[in-house]
Amino acid sequence: MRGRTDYPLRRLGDLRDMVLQTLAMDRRRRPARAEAWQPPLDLTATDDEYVMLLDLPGVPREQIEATAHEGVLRVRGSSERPEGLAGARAVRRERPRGQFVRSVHLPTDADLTSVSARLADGVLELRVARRRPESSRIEIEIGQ
Amino acid sequence: MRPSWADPTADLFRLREQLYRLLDDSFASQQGVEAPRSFSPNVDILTADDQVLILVGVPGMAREDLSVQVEASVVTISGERKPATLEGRLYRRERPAGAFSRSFSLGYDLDPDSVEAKLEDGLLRVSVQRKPSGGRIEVR
Repeated sequence: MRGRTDYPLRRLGDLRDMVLQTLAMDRRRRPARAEAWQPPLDLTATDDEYVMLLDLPGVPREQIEATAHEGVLRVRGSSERPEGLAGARAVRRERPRGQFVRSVHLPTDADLTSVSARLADGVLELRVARRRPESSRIEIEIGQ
Repeated sequence: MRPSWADPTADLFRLREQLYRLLDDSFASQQGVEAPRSFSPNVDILTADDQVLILVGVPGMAREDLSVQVEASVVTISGERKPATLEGRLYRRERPAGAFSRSFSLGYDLDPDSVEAKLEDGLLRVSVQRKPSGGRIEVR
């Protein structure tokens, strides 16, 4: 049976790939291939809106892109390499670097034409208005 | 100081977090509504000549909740990230909160008077100069 049942299997396949990728390190114990990192997310819902908060410390506004498409709110971007010290060598590197992405599949009452975004102190806040229940109900006339 | 590259413990922790997210649909369950109780900021340390630059990821933190101390060859960065007050019904809570204290031993003595710390966009940048060594020893 295809359809929804193979979706969790595909996700497990993604997980298997991720396990292999994490374990495939070169001699210097670095990941063999960089993959997009996922910023931590807080997700809440009030009666009027969905609120999404992401930790993106040190990421400038112009390197963050938020898009809404077919019920999915996606934030992607890139954290730049730290600058500010000429001729520096890294003694420790814990901050995630490179591409990041985080998506949230919102319920159908989310009005993705009404999204506001704000970045302050390295935290990105996205607010999505929720449609009032009456306005999302459509009467269907049945003909003969 | 021994250079540390990818810390396998950190990688496994990240993997666990990603596994957690992969197997959960955002709104299907309400797991993870407790803020992770401990916060340990990610730190990058860069050295060049007689200067060290420490970058600490501290999103949403206020200046007064952070402190930087320098003693001999050790830099200690500590603070407390207060948990965010979230409105409405919680579906996911991954952003960590809590007190932390991290110390780093550089290979040489540092000059505490040279410490400069700047907090911007959730990133704390600390720069410290190496302590100038005592006067030249004249060889007669």
